[in-house]
Amino acid sequence: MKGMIQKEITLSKKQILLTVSMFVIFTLLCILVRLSMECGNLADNTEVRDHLMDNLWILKYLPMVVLAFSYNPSGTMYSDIDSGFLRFCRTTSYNIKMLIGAKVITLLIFETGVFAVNLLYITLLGAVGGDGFSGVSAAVLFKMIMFFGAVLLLMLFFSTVTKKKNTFEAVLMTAASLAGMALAPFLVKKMEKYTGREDIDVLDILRLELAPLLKYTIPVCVLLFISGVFLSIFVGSKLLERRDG
Amino acid sequence: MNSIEINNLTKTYDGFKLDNISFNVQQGSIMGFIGQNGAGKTTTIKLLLGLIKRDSGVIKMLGLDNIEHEAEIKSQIAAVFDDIPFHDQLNAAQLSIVLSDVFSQWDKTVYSEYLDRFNLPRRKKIGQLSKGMRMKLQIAAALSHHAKLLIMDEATTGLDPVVRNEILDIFLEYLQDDQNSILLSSHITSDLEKTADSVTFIDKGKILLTGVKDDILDSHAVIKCKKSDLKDIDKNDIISTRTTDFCTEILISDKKLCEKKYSGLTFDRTTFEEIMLFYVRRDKGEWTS
Repeated sequence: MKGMIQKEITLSKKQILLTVSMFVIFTLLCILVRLSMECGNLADNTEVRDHLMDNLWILKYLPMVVLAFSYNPSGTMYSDIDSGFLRFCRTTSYNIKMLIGAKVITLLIFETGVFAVNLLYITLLGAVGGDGFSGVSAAVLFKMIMFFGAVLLLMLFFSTVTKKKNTFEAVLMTAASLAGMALAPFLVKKMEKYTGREDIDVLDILRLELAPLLKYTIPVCVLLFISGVFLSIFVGSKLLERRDG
Repeated sequence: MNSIEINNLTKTYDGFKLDNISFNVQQGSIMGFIGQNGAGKTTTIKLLLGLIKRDSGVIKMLGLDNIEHEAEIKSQIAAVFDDIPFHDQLNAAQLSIVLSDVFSQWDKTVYSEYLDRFNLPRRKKIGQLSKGMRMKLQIAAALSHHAKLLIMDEATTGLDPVVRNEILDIFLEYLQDDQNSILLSSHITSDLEKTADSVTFIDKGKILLTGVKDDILDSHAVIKCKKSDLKDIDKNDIISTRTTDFCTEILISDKKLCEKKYSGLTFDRTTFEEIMLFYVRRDKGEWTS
């Protein structure tokens, strides 16, 4: 597994460097803004400071969004397919489950690292703002990690499905996308009540609409993550191992 | 013992049929698998490697059914393709670490020796290597896990003669161990004349010839004569006829018989290139070049 994990990291090197650089820039910016809110120019501007305090979560969690995508297993899957490496593996006794398993393990390593780094960051941000460390922030970070991990795993599964374009699974995927699009009119209808209201912005709308769902986020994110692992390792590898027609 | 046994193998695609083909590759030998582009060489190799489903027929490799004992067989074979199946971003040193995961019998020392022998840089990215170097790297990888059977699909195509010769020498060295065998698909027939022990010739999904290379070359001959002599030759003896500005050339497949029947004519030794040309145009009967 060590060799395959090393391959994953080598193939993602550019993306990792890019996202880490962006993360460093974002965190520095956010810490500077937070410092300014406490003892700089922004501290004197009550209106802006209050607005920023209301939306402090952006400063806390935005850098994490950037870093969470530093390793994308579906990208390396496409690379395995395009380079012929997948076909090569199929001419050997190597188990394709191990190929995908290495991607899942690499993702777990990365996401754990991202979680740890962001935990440090929010602790630092809390220290700068005098808020200290909050368990709630750590829980939010955890949910986000699980959610982004699940998204990346589902993308990995999707990359294995698209390899087999003519399969039943691809038809299912298309049907799911169409069903998603069919939901759009309902969403528009739900949002109608906010039309023309100037006292409320997009973030408020999101907060109002999503608040009732928050209690479900941990189980949903964990379920999504487990589904992603199962689909990509077991169903995805079966699809890739299948002999062409 | 045969390293590969193919019996009545059939595979149908839209517009192409691999039609009931059968041939064997003897252990300790190198078989040339020739045919023009689209003749069915790659389809046969994909079926051997279990990459596509067969419609009917039996394939045995190293004495075992290639589907029932897939993992066992695949641990003892190596496939080499016309282009390197590794990521451009990796280098030869990193590739060794990756392949040690893929092959349980990966031998770093042997691999390192091949890298030295081929003068392959260890830290240069695969994407920056020349076509010849990429092919050498692929062959180094194929030979570094003690495979008993090498299956090469157009592996020498597009390489310059120096590199091709170097690679062919490696194959001959590999065959010093009489447990090892090679199936070498190519349309560069001169390479096969140099190295192959036996040859199988496929055209339009059908096996036209299969057997020991020298037997095939000895049994075939080209008769060079005037066009007016053509009428004296039995049509059943002729594979096809090429008419040039200077003479008429006729390929026959039973030299001994024809030498007796047409004692006044001259029989020239032929090559696989000529055999391929004449067989491929056999439907036309008479053709010009």
